[in-house]
Amino acid sequence: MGSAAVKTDASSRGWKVAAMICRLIVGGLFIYAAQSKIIDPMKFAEEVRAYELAPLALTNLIAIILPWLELIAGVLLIVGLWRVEARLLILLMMLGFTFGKISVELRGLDINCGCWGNDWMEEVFHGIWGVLLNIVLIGMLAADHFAMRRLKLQVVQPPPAL
Amino acid sequence: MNMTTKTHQRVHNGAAATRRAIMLRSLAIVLVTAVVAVGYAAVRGVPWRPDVEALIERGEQHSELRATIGVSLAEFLDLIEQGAIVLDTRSTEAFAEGRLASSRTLVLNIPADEIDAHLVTLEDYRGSTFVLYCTSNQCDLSEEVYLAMIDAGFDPVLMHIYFPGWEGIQEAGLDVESDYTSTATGEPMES
Repeated sequence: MGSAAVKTDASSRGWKVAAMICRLIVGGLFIYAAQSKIIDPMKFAEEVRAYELAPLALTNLIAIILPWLELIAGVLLIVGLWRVEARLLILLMMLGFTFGKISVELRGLDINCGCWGNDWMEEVFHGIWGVLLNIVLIGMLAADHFAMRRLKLQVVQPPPAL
Repeated sequence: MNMTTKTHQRVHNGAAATRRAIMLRSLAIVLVTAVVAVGYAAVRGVPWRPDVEALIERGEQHSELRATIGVSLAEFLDLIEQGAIVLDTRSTEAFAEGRLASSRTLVLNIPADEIDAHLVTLEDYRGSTFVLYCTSNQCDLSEEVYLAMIDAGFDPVLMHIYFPGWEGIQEAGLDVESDYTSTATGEPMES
């Protein structure tokens, strides 16, 4: 029983650490991405318009609300408060961003990602690389989800019989 | 209804309630965020609705200019070879940080937000061919300078815009220089 308990403890710790790292990366990136857009919403509105996906009349509203949603969801994900909800919102945003990027690639538009402000992160997430990195981030959200489920199951499961 | 069915029903109801609670809390986050964001925008004086008509007009003007005076990389290089004066319409800081370097022609910094002051400088080059660039395809600064120069009586036939701008120059590996580093070729400048 002793060795099984130690194994379970080690496994739980491993899952917790993995989940924490995933949340820190995804949440941290969302907080980082939000700050430059919150500072300069008009510039972000221009970048939203460059995607040619949303009605022009809504582009300012999107540029005003989206960065704050990124910031708040990112903070909640890292802090672990309303974690499921934060993860769900970030997942929806990621799916939206990925759809936008794929659509831009398919239409051959040569535009900035508009994700990070004017620095090297724009380069990293440019074009098809951006799509692949988004998929990696979605994978991290999935990892956090499965880690949380697994840890819950470990708590619920009765201890193994002697 | 036997015990197992009742248990399943309870579990099912519990899961549905949890999903409902998650949806409601997610919605609450979105609503609170929207209120905070719109409040912040109001304080900053950011309009929540853009001037759609002006945007459409600007878009049409942009497409028209792109089709009529936009030049490809090969044409841009040809114009430089022929001695066309290059106007970098980005800010003074961006120009100092990194710009096109050419031994064949002049590369002048004419920031769009200071165009009125710089029109005097450009008077010395009236009658020359100009090729303008700014940051990237999304940048409107070259168009602003172009329109101001047209208003000031410069010949539109002698004016061109390289729309990919500074990004295109870097991607094409053209010679660049900076006030902060020695002359380099093609590599993006360190900021």
